[in-house]
Amino acid sequence: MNRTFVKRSFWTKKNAFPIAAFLTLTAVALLAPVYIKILFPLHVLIMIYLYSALGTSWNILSGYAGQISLGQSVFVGVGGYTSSVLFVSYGVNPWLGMIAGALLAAIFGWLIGKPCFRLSGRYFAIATMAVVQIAYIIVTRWEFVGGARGIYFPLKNWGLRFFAFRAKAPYYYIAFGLMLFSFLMVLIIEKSHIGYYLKTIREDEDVAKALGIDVPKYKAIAMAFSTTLAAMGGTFLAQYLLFADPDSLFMLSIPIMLLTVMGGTGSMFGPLIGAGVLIPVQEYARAYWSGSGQALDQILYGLIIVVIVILQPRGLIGIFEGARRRFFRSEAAQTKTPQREGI
Amino acid sequence: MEHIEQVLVSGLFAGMVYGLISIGLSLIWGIMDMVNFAHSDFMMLAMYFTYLLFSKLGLDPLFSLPLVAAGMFCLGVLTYFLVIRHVIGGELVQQTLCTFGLVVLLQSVAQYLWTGNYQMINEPLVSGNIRIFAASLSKGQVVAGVASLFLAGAIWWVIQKTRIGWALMATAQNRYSAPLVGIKVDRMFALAWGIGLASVGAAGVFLANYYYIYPQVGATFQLLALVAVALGGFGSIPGAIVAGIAVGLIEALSGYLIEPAYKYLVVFSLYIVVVLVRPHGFFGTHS
Amino acid sequence: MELLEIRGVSKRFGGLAAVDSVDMYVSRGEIVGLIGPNGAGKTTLFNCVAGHCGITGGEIYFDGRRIDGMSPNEICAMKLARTFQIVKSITRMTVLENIMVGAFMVSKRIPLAREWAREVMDFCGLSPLADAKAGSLTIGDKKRLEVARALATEPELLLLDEVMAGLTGKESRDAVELIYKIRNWGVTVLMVEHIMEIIMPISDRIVVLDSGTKIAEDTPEKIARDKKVIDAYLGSAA
Repeated sequence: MNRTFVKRSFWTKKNAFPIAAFLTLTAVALLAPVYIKILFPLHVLIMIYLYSALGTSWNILSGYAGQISLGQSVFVGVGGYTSSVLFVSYGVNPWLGMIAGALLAAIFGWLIGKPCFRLSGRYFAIATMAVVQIAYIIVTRWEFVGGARGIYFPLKNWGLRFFAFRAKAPYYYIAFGLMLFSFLMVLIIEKSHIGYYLKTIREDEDVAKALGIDVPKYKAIAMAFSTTLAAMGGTFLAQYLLFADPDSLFMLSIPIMLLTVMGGTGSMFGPLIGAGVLIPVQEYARAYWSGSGQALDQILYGLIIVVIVILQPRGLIGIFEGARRRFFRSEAAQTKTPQREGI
Repeated sequence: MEHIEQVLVSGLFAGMVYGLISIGLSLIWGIMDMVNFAHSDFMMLAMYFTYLLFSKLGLDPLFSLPLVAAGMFCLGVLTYFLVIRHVIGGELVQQTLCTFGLVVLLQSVAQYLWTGNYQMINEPLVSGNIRIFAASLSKGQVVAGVASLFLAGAIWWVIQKTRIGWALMATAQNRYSAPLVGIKVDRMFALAWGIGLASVGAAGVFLANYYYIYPQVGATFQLLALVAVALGGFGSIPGAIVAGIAVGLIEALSGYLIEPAYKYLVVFSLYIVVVLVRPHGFFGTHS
Repeated sequence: MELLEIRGVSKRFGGLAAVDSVDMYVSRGEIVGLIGPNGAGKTTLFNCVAGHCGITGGEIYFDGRRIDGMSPNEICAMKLARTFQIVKSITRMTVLENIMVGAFMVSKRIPLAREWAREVMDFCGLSPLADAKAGSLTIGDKKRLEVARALATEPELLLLDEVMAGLTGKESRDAVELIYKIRNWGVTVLMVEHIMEIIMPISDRIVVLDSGTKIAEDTPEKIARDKKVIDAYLGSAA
């Protein structure tokens, strides 16, 4: 039973393509604001990055660990409100507020998770739905946090120090950073035992326990990652809107879930793909049809969801993976690799 | 300030309607092991149908009931075959995504066709108030409550006493062995959707008698119905009715004792507490 | 003290005793067979030992420590692993990844866990299927994977719950071979099996349960001639 350990290099041929693709896309993304001078496309891109990060926060808890949350927005709200209240009422720097919000959201997540993780499947989902309603009711009646009106920023302090800008480009870079941070979280999970453990818990908790997995502990870990990210997204959203109100922070649970499942759950780029498709559709359709005051944009949005779930049950990422598999299979057939590397 | 009798009686009658709404949800949940998050948005559709029949054809809700219920039954079967059938074998996330997609679709279609304005049926046949004990209630609400109970009883009878009901229950117990005794599972699922939507459609007709009609009207009812189903135990019709009434009473009482703004807060908190203590509801038998 | 000691263990569901004050033990290095007709309480006893359900009476000791009341993962960490009667592969993971999940008990570092998982995979003869999705395997290979995954947690005692059920003749001969190999690797085996013909030749000792109680415990030769055992089996078949 001697165990040998062969060190494998990160810079392998197999990794070359993803790395190159990643660097190219990052470069393009970083240069985008230099060339895009119109505000609207920039706004759409900011929303894509933000929702990709929020989707990832849902994905960690629900896609990887299988605990389907219909109340992810609670943590977005806690994050956004914490930093906003601290800033507007106490003059605390929003960056510090973001950290405070993330911590508070993690504590909330722990408090909610402790009892609710005992529930199975849909009971958990409905419980989270109830939690978000409870939070919404409390926030709208709570005058200390501005009640139904919300909190409006004084619009005095601008610049990186105050996390508030008159231009869109700085928000763009911060949102992009937030998205990269969300990928980093997923990478940490995927490239460690945590990812394997979460997927096992998702498939079968009895198996997980039998294999020595401390199920409550790993669910709590997923919750901690998930809530932190959601809260950071909440602070970003409040700073971007320059206000925090119940409707824009506590009512995002369903869109977050929809776009992630559309993109593909339990995969790193699923949320980005989902956001990349749904957000532009939503934003452009809304802008295009807005004059008539009708709901054609939402009809289109709903139709896309229903059609995708029928045609691509695994999400849009299924299309990409299918293409990649075909590509690599034809390559493998030529080189006849005897044994491939497991993930 | 309202007095307690008023609160209890109106809570009771509201609860009966919640019960009828919950039955369809519970049936689909129990038979297909699937949560239809768009359930009460279908009810919203039925409310609009009722409204249109009234305003365009002058048909009173009392008479449009069979028409709307039949229409909703067909819509249920159609939805099953067009959409639901394709996700039935999928995971919980896909089913959830699918029915939430329907939520978006139904609400936006209603918004597009009938705008977001509040509509109301003016002076239906059943209007005015009635006194029950010391409480004064709109007749529409009383009719809705009583008719809901009656319909719930009828559905329960069909499930308990007829061959079709027996086949439905067999499918609920084991969809894989049901075909062995000659049950066509696909048809049973379609039937569950038909009955589910017909019953929630009937609830919509009753509600249209005295309630505002707007595209998002389903949202609150959806959560209340989910709570009722979870409390009553999925698949159980008596459970859905009793839990629906309980939800109505709790809602009314907490509105009275605490503050109307917090009534749902109490209902939802109670859901979480109850479900933690009894994960399968009070009438549920599944483990 | 023996490796596993079960003292007067009972498990009641409502008024029904699925397991009724059973005493048994497993010594280091043994292969012990646990047999009995359908509904005899074998799987329930397994679940109790592995911590998946609490017991309503008695005590269970593993390696000198009392384990009843512990959670399954704590018990697994003490080097007692189990398989499930109904195979529960993680269908969306490959065979190697499935085994790695167990291997993380040995090391949380991915490269080390992977090496160890490969070793176990080789040992169980699953290497050719390393990259196959677990959902696509035949029932025989799924059962093998189930064993490999439990083995990867590096147990001292392995509980096998009907690993032979549903296998073809060739597959069950391979499985018997594997069980011998596991024992020779230094792992003690306690196995539940419904089919007597398979369990008899490979067990060092056999415990027979009927209706929740232990009715016999002896070498396979003597068990095969035990009147009570024969009655229990014939009784259930009749």
